[in-house]
Amino acid sequence: MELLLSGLAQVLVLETMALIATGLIIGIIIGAIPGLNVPLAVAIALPITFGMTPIGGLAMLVGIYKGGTYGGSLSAVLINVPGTPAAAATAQDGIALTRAGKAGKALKMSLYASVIGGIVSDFALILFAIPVASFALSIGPPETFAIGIFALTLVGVLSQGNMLKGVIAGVLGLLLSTFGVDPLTGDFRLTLGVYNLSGGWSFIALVIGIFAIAEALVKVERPLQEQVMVGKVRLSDPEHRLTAEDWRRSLPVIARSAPIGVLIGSIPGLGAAVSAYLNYGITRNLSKTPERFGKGAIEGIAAAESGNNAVTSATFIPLLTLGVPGDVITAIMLGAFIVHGLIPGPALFEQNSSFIAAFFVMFVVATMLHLVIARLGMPLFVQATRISNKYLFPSIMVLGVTGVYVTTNSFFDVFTMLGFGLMGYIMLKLRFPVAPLLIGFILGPLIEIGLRQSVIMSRGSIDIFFSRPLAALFLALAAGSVIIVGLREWREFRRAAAARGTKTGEKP
Amino acid sequence: MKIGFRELNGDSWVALGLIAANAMFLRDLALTESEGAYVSTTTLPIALSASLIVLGSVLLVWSLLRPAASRPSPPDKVEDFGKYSPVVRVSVVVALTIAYIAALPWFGYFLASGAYLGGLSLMYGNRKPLPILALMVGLPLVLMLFFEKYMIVLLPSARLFE
Repeated sequence: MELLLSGLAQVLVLETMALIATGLIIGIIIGAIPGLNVPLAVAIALPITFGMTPIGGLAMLVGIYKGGTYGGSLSAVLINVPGTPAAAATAQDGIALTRAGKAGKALKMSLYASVIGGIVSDFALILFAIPVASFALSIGPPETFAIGIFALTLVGVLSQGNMLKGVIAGVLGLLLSTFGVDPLTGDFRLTLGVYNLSGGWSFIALVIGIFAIAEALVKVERPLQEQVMVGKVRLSDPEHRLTAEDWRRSLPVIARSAPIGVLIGSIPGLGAAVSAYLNYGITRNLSKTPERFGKGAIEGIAAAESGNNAVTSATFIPLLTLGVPGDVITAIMLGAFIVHGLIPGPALFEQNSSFIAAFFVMFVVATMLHLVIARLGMPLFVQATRISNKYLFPSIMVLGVTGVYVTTNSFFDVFTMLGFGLMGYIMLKLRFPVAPLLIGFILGPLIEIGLRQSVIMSRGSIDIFFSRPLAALFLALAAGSVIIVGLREWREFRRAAAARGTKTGEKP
Repeated sequence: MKIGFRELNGDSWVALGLIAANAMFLRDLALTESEGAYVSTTTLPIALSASLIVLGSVLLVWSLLRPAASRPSPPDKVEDFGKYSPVVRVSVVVALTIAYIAALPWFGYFLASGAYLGGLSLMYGNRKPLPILALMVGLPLVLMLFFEKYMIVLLPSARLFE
């Protein structure tokens, strides 16, 4: 306790607070701009922090990380263009609320769910870092594979009544993730003789293409259709307020999603997007009214955002306790630790306990500042719904091209983005859900590496997936999820067939 | 039941495209040297490609056999789309984007982006010269300052004028 108080004294100084606030503002802006991503911002800011104090430098980077993770939801909710892959889950219901003239409600739930998820994650880091790290250590390739398969069943949940098309999109996403270098042997495959494909398809090009470019192409079909809101948007208006009913629906969801997000964040390699989609899918599966999802269910936003943001502090658990970075951002931040003479691992807690205390406190302070800054900025953010399509979509197209170029420095990837944009446009026109494609692409490497390493561990036997309790549990959950979703789809199909039969006078 | 090209709808064409593309992938994978213990380099891609061929076939059959009432309805034609049809508009935007990306290394970020924004503004129905000009100059300028001065990331320079 004394240590934490001394840490608080180190953090509550003007310089550190200003650095956290700067990081948060940069992060929110970067996260909200389609094409720019948080790892890029953290990597670029890294050299700037070398001249600062260790806690000051890391405070700024953590601010960018937290702000960026939240910022992705702003563009997802307001213009249906997720700034980060994880925010694509938020867009499912966020854009529906915005189109219904309730953007303020969606933004508020997105912020509060993010902050609650962030706080749960911060306290998990402070109080349970060691036991959670032990849990993360018990996750091997068989468990990773099983979690990947469980998450893949979300394809059914996200198919929105088009199960066959959703499965096709999910399998296509998985296939696209296998292009390029084999993650285990380093051999090339499916490069089609194109040198630029040796590294596989660019993830950022895929995300920008299927969401931002596809949306812009859909909008150019009807250029005369104007924006949702014309007058000034006031967050105090009734349609923008969160009601007691909204909270009644969302609080239990947040209470479930945040701990799941913490566990996912503590496992190296899974990340915020998996957490957001997994929590969204679980919430929809458990809901008594699943048909509301995708049409403006407030708890859909709560699940995705709390799950997404609960990952942020938890990814530091394996980094601080074991020296293992949980994702790309913590890998970059490992560099910041080392530059400041701090070597993450068990020894860090003994040799630099004062720094660790300040670092822990800094997370909580950053989450509080996140709430204040984002809430103050919200009246400004929500005005984005007033920007005319005539200005918005040309800007999004240029931002998409610029974002992919600065991330990959490759014109091939920029052309690829356009190709994915066309694919997304065709999918939207033919009512193929695009979210399963992204889920498949994210989970592909996880599933493949997990499967192949497990089979090597067990010398060719698949019994390993059933003999390890956690792996067996997740596979059972996956099977259960498939059965539940399959039965629900079948019932809906029968109901639709019966309705058609009644209309035409035939028996269903 | 008579099945001809006239009866193939969007889903059918997608299914045919999937089958053709994955047949090509399978051919490529068959030529790839496969390594790895128990599960090789190409096992998963082959399984996924084969699955897509099967799923594509199911989609093809389903799109041909299901009753017309349950097929996706064509887009509404209630609004005034202006002089050109949606397909023409989308094609022009795609062509503009290809030209923009191709022009970037030759004309540089500022000029190419400005011209592209001008073209896109017209496509999105903007007919006010001053706001278009402001967007053409303002956005590329802000992005250039942000990336090149603040983020220290270089954007494409004009090879043609070097």
